[in-house]
Amino acid sequence: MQARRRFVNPVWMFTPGFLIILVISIVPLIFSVYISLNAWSLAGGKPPELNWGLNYVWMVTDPRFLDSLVRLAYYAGVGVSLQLILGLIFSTAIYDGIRSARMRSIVLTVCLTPMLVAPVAAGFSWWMMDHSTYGVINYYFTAVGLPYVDWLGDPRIALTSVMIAEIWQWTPFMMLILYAGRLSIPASLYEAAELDGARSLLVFRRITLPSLKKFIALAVLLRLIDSYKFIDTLFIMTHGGPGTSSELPTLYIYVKAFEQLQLGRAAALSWAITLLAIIAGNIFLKMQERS
Amino acid sequence: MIQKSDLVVRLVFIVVAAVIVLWTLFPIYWLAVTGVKTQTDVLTSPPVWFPKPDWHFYRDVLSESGISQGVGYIALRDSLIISMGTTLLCVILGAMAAYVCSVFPANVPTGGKSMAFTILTFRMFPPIVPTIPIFWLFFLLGLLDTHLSLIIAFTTFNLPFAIYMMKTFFDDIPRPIVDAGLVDGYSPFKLFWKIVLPLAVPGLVSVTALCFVFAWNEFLMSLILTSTAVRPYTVLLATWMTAMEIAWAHRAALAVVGIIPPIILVWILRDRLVRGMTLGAVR
Amino acid sequence: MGAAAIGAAAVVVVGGVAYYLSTQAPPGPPPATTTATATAPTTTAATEVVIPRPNPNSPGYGLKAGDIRSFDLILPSAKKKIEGTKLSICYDTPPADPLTIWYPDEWKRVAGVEIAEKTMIPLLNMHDRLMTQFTMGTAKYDLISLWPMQLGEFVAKKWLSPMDDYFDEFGYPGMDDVLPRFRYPFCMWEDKTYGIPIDGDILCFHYRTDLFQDEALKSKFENKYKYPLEPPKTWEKAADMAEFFSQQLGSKGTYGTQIFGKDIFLWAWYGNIYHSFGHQWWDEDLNPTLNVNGDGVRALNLLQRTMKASPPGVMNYSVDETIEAFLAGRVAFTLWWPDLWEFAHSTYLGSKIIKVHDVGQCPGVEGREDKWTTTSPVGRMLVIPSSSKRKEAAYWVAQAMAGQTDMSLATVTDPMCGLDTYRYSHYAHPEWFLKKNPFRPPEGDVEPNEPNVDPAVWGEEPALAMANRYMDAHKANVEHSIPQPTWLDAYGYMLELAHQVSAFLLGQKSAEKALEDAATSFKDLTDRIGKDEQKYVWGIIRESYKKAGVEF
Repeated sequence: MQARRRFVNPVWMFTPGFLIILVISIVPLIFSVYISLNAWSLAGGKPPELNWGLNYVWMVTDPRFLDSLVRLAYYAGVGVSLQLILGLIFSTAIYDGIRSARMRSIVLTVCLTPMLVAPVAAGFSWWMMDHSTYGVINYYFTAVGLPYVDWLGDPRIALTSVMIAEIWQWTPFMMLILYAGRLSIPASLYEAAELDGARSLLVFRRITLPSLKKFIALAVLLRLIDSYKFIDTLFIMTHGGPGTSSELPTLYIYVKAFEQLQLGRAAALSWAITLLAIIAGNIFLKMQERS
Repeated sequence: MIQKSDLVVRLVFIVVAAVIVLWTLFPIYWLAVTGVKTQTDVLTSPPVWFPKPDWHFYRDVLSESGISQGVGYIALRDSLIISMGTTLLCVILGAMAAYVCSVFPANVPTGGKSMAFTILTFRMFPPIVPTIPIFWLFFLLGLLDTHLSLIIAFTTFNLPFAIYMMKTFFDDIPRPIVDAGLVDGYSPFKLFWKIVLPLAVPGLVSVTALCFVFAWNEFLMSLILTSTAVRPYTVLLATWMTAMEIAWAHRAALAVVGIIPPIILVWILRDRLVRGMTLGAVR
Repeated sequence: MGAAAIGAAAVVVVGGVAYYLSTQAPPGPPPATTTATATAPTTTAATEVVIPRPNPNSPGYGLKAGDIRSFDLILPSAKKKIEGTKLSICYDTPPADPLTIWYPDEWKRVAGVEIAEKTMIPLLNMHDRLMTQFTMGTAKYDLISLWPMQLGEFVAKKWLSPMDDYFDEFGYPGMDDVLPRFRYPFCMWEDKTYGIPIDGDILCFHYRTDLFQDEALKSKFENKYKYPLEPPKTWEKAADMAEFFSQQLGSKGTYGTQIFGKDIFLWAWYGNIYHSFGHQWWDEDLNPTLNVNGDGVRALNLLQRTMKASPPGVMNYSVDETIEAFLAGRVAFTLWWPDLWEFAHSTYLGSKIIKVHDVGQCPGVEGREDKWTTTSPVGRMLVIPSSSKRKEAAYWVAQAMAGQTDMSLATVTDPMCGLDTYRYSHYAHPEWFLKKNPFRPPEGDVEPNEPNVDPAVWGEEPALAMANRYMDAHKANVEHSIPQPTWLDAYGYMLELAHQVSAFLLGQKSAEKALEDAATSFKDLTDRIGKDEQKYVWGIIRESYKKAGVEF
């Protein structure tokens, strides 16, 4: 028999956190919708005036924005694929290649360091290494006979250089997820294969990869989301340059809002990106629910 | 019997692992080394791998009144204040909220599970999107360019992640223990404080560490919401320039000093961080 | 149900905030502060003196252009008023040392004024930071080192306070001594003085004398191009020479020239060529004139030729890279601000071309060699925000450092700050280039206090000759300069122009399309600002051009 007790509704423990999130992120988001319906430029002195959907019309016809979307597709698609491939290689190499568990743990922790470095710091380091005159990379490239590459000054390559820095920084994330995935594959599967005398590459293809599918999907989704979110490295390495050849949508929003001081248009742009966010979020949630 | 092909494969793996470690560590090494180079060593070709160390940049970044008049020191101090404030707030509010979501989902508006998921969706937003209106909101509240503004902003962005992660740790606590507490007449808060929290501490510690690292390394919101009174080290790193020279060494020194706290944290907690770092994908 | 309640609450809150913001008047002029008591006599003590206008006792009264006075003059009544004031100043990197390290002790000693709060903003963030801070009213400065491009915007929004009322009591700033090209377009607005310059920017032509005097190179060049190799008078020739140098010496790491590939300054590198064709950015009715008779395309093509003869990575070159490239000897010639000449003499800055560089006039274009032009892209002047409560003290500091004073002369001749000549009195005293800066504190500064051209190293007479040569080049460039735009949101227009020029240089658009898109952006910006307001402002600016002698 339950004793009668006064049950204090625990929702008060939930409310402060929830309120902060509500007030500081949801309310501003709604306010941002309002801004996006105004023509509001800090330069020139006119107060904000409603122009309804005109900012959105401008947005879908703005070549700079459309180009940035194309670049995002390249950056996210190629970048995440490379991270996946490298992550697979790294995790397999460490898992299968190092016998001692202690050594494995140490190497794994060491390999996590790129994730801990501030993205600005990573960007700065790569910027120095990619420098057109004093960068290490070009020095050794030309020393071994590879062609000189203008990593950050050639508009065709600038975005790829930033992507390489991102790959350096976030492949460990992939590696970690895939490694943990490997841990969860039951050893019995491998034993059976060994008994059958299967060669390692076949084992990899037929057993490892399918078992990792769930982890691969999750890792890829998370990295895709991050690829449009974070512009720290891009900001410090090229700032969208040269010109706008490495500008991604999120950086364009920043430029519009805080350099060109056109807040209405920036808000409209940010809602376009938010649409991406909502779609990605829903996919993530569905995946989590299924697991 | 050890087969030759086995050895070859093993060797290949080890070589690959070595290359991976080198690839991983080189950019960090380059930063560290640039920090001790003199200006001539920085700007030479061929690049110098092992310069004769000139420690004055590192000293300058860490001292209150060096050449740069303590700019680096103040930046690191600001980052510390903000990160600790954020972590404190995140942990307190997040743990409480996650606890309610996990143990008393019925008391949460719209149901605990879906609330946690919805909260996580906000993780999907690029920080820039709400930062534009937050900028104006903080201006109205007179909070711009203060430590508090960044603490609040970071907490807001980190709370969804923190709540979600902590909820998974609370979910791990066997339900019978919780039920026993309720039967014994514990109020929800007492249950939290005396029973559930102590059990979840190991996991919570790792979420705390990740909160700290997030706040410590954050750049874009710091850039937008501060200008002169408060300057986290990430913003200083991006904008620190002297009048007339290419100044890599002191920025590199600042970057390296900035890497140290996260590395220390993660090294200490390395076994516990997998879940947090993979966002609950891996338990 | 809970969600609906939350949603409703959110909408109410947002609606309230939005309504509140929309009813806020845009930041209006701050409450009028009383100006210095120069006009009305005070009625309290009988011993109070009415300050006459003009006041012959005030420092700087009656000086002619070219004269110079000591900075530490101050009327006792003035000192009593401003003693003990603590100022908050805002500046970017080049004026940082003079404003915060070198001179504050002197100002404290003489006038009792202290520099208490120091806010440094990188130059490229100055525009957006100041705009945001002033729009929101959170700027709390007493003195700002302002980029002239922002003058029109700041004056139109009444964010600046005119200085004229302070002359009689706190010192005359010697505006007649300021070179007209800086005085009228940058410091004055409709006959009121809003700023005193501390930095007179002008793009000059810097080059390596050893390369231009090398016999082997000279004969090769003349054989190929049929005219002598010497500092070019036209951009067509400059492009030829750049290509030649890159071809001959590129494998050894020396290239013809460099351009400022990154950031907004690309507008000035392009403007140098385009203005030489005799055109401005738009006409009286604000119709963009960016490609008159195809000259815009010609200018772009010339610019592109020089870009292709630049070191790799040049499209990412910003301030420090362009300095470093010239000082390391990596380019044969370059457009740059005058102080590059000063930097190139410094061993402290690592110059490798100390004995083999020179400065001269910028090139024009074929057919208009005598009407060559150059631009003045940055420049700085000290202004006083109208929201300041310490205008008098701020003004005294401004006129001490930048007036017709020895301190102003010492600053522009000091190689360790990037501030350049802007007065006739600077031209009149080139011997100061041979001296150390006497107002710097004896210790506590990292950068050495050295003369620009040390007579001990060069010899007294050669050093003086070098200084004179530098001033002559500066003079010529100033007389042919086209002031930077100072109209409403000039920064935004030039940013768009730089963006389009960059797109062309990177091969993303044709020259015609780039200029068309720039013209479209100009029109868009004008519409957003309001054509009438902009036209009015442009009218004022054109008047100031007339006074400054600017012609097209």
